[in-house]
Amino acid sequence: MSGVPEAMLERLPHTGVARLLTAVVRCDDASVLAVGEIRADHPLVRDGEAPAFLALELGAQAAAAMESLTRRGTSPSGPVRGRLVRIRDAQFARDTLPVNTPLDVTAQVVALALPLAVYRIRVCLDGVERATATVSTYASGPAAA
Amino acid sequence: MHFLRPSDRQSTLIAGVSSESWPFSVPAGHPCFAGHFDDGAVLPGVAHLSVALEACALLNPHVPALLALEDVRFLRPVLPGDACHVSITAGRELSCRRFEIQCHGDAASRGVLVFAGPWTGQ
Repeated sequence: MSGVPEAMLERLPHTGVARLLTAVVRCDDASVLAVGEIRADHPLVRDGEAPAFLALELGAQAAAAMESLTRRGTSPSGPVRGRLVRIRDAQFARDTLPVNTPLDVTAQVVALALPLAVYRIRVCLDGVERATATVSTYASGPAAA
Repeated sequence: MHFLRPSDRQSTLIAGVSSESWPFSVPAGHPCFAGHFDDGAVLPGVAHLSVALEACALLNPHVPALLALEDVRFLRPVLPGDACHVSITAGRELSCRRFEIQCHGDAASRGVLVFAGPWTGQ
């Protein structure tokens, strides 16, 4: 989907150190492949390593980027707000993730009935799976988690 | 960066269920709110998990690594300065602990943390 990925990042409401996604590689109506990186100055980084559960934030941001595509026609300007409402079946291969290192992030639609959406997310480092989970998001609301 | 003060720990026993809890509040200037979001700060969901794991670490400094999350629900947003409590109770198995974060008396998040092995702490 040419021309779309950069705009998808711009529509993420996360800014500064909170924005973990750095690029969207490809996206269609069913899935998104993105690249993310956890900065060393992220507030949850301790002793130079990020907790593995930050992979969930990477996945949630990938899902949010995808939702910005889904909702382009209905919300033409400004960031798309989404609220993380549920995490199920999250598995972590190790208890930490490296900082300042590109991580591959995929989010695949499991169920979609906007404003509610369910995604299966996967975070890999150098092709090796580090975290998986099923996350549910609510695309419109006064605030997000 | 810590959210809890060890000395604030409170122990309760209700209907045979033991619970350990800590009050906490995340001030507006806390780095966790930076960029999340510019038009209205909300504590990120991963920060809820960080609070819960910090509480587990206070209960057991040798807590095993976090292996999985069975089911975590985010029920209401936590905003800067909100008065919150995090409580930890035993899970279904020795390797599990349940957490709940309450905000102004309402559940803000709850879920089950699964660790890499049983822990012998509280």
